[in-house]
Amino acid sequence: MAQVCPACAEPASEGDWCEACGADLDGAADTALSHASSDPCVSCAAPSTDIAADGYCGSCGHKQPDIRDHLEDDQGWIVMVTDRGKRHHRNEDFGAVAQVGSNSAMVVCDGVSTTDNPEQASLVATTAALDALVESLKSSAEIDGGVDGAGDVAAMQAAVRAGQDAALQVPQVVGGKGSPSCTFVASISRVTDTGVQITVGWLGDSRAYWIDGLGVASQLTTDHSWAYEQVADGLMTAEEANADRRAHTITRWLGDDAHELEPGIAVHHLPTNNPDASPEASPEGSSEGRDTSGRLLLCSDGLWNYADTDEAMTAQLEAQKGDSLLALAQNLVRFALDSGGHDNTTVAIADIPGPESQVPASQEPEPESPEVPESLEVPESPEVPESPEVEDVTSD
Amino acid sequence: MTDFRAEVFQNEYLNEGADVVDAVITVTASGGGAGIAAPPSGQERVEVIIIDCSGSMNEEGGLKMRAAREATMAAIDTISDGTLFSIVAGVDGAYALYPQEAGAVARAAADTREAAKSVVSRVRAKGGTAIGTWLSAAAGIFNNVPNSINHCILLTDGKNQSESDRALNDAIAACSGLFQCDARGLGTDWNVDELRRVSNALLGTVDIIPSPSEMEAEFRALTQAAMGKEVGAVALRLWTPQGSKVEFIKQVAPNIDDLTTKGAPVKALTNDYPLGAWSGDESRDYHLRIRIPVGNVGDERLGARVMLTIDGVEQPSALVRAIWTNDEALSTRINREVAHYTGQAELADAIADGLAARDSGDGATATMKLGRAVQLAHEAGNGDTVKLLEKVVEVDDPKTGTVRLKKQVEDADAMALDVRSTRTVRVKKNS
Repeated sequence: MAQVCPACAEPASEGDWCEACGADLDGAADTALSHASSDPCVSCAAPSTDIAADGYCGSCGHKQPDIRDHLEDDQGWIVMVTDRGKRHHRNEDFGAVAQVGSNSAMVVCDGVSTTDNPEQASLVATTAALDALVESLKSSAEIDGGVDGAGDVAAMQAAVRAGQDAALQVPQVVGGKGSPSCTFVASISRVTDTGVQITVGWLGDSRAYWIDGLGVASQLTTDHSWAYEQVADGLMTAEEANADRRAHTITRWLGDDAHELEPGIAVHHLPTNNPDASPEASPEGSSEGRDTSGRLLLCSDGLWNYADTDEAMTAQLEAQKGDSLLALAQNLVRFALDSGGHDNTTVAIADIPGPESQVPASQEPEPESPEVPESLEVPESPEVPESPEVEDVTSD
Repeated sequence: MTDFRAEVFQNEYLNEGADVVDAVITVTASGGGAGIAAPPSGQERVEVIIIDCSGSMNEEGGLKMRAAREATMAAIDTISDGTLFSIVAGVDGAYALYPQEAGAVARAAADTREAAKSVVSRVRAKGGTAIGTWLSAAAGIFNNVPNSINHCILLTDGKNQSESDRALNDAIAACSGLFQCDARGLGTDWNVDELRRVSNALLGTVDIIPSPSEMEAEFRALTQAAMGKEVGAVALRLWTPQGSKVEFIKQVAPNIDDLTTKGAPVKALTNDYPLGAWSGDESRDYHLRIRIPVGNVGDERLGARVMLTIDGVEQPSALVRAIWTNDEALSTRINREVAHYTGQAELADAIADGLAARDSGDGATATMKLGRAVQLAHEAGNGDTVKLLEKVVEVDDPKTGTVRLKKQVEDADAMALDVRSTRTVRVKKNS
């Protein structure tokens, strides 16, 4: 059972049908691609009964908007927005986010368009990986007392495996382009006894960023791309590599069982109760509270294509900020569209840590299902951490 | 069991504001037998052979009539057991040769084949040529056998002199959809346009048999091909959107045959274009050009839903799509299949125009058009067409299409170029 409905991204209820949109959850991968609504044709207003199962209007032929063209999931302190963009005729990205108490899990996958059915690969890999991460957060939440997050690397590896297994189930086209494939980036943030631990895993060029309390973005992932590897190996300058037509060719992905899965995995620890805020992170005039809040952002290359460096991403985070986390995610996607919208674009953002970290774990009434957090305010308690200490950049 | 498959080749990306969608549809039958096939259970196969017995068949010292008799006997020997058949003599009217009762058929077996050949061996030529009455007689025979795969071979050596052109057209129209007809002209005294009208309307082929000695092999091959047809009524069912117009739908391989006016409405926005009978192992290409209402950039619309119907039963469909974009790298991409068959159609037109100009004494236009034809045929690899053209023009440079009209051209060569100008070569598939 999927944790979120793949068709509408609402949290899925138990049962075969999504109560939010009516999609068949068992056959979700198919349903999500067809015209699920009873709306008339968006172009000629022909009744819904005229619209064929493959989404084309039986009168004017107009392809009905795919439900995946634009999806949003607003859970207050954790949000996801995905959009088809302007140049592609379908959205092969998928993203999903979930919260377990004040802990969060996020997944973004970008279908590889040179393979068969990439939009199905990204959908099933995302939902399977998120399921695995949520299970891991739930099972450790049940442990009384000490939570150390030591198992999160293993949980991330299990999520990668679950995503891979799901992607391998996507049917290949006979004589087609190749195994259905997608990139992968996922995160877990977990409140531990000593702070907040962030674990990021990825394959390909979808990215994760840490955004510190001052809004400064730092890329946590290293792209598994041709350009990155040329530069890393000292064969080319970044400029030369990025100018090459192979720049965006990814070197690792989900969906091909011909290669060993070697995800990049990075663990970051944000200690609580750090009384000596680092001077660099605390410029004049800023409040103490701002210094200690942070955010985690996952995105597909549809966004970072237009803000490739940490500096450029930092500038856009400032330029696109809105009055809510959802507004920020929407504005970032809008920025990508306004910049050309050449690719599908997906952004997932979570406040770190979640708001309920203020509540002692023992008083947490129902840690598994607070769809509406008790407080939507970003915590400003001095007990929340500041910039993360990087313990382990990657397992590459 | 024969499986049918339709594949679409197109560039689905249209430039902003564009409204014309081109696609090549390849229809392939597979899984059936090559060679002689049994018709599907519950269906009969009916073969009618019409031989011209007009007085002109006595020319060349009776050689033509003798060749026609021998060719027809060879065809009779090729008719497979169980096939219903009838042999008709065509003159000012049509006369049943075997069985001798008008409208009747015999079931092919050793004894009926011998009896038929015995009658054919004694037939004599005398009278005129009224092709419309011959077709009407064939229709009468086919109408007597319901639910059958119907094929007819029609031979003439002369023009349709014994009836009006209108009578011929009316007869052709009445036969359309009832049977397929391969028309053959013997010698050079017949009219290409008349037989082409017959074969185009009746989904068959037209060709010249330049000399009587080539007739037997041709008749045997035609009959053999007819015996291989195992699916009788295949149609291309096209759904096209509201406000759209099918500019043309034509078969482009193995030869060009315009189907545009043959569409029969089956329901709203949906027309059936008859594709005739098929063997269990063949493939044909069709070029569809459709004009559809313009969408916005980013919109995707269906230009056509392409279905095949086999004896009225719908098979799974293929899609002709239109996606509007302002990315010229996408919209200007040339689709190989569409480009190839656009070239093949231009080649056929260049030959027809060139021959018409040559006939009317316009040497300059004829040289230009036939030169262009040589160039196109050379580029596309139409080796047979190049050979036919070389009998009408001296080719100085095939790459540039530089040619000179030949002073002396055999009538048979000009007619062969004319009737075979619509034969195409298939696009070379990569991979």
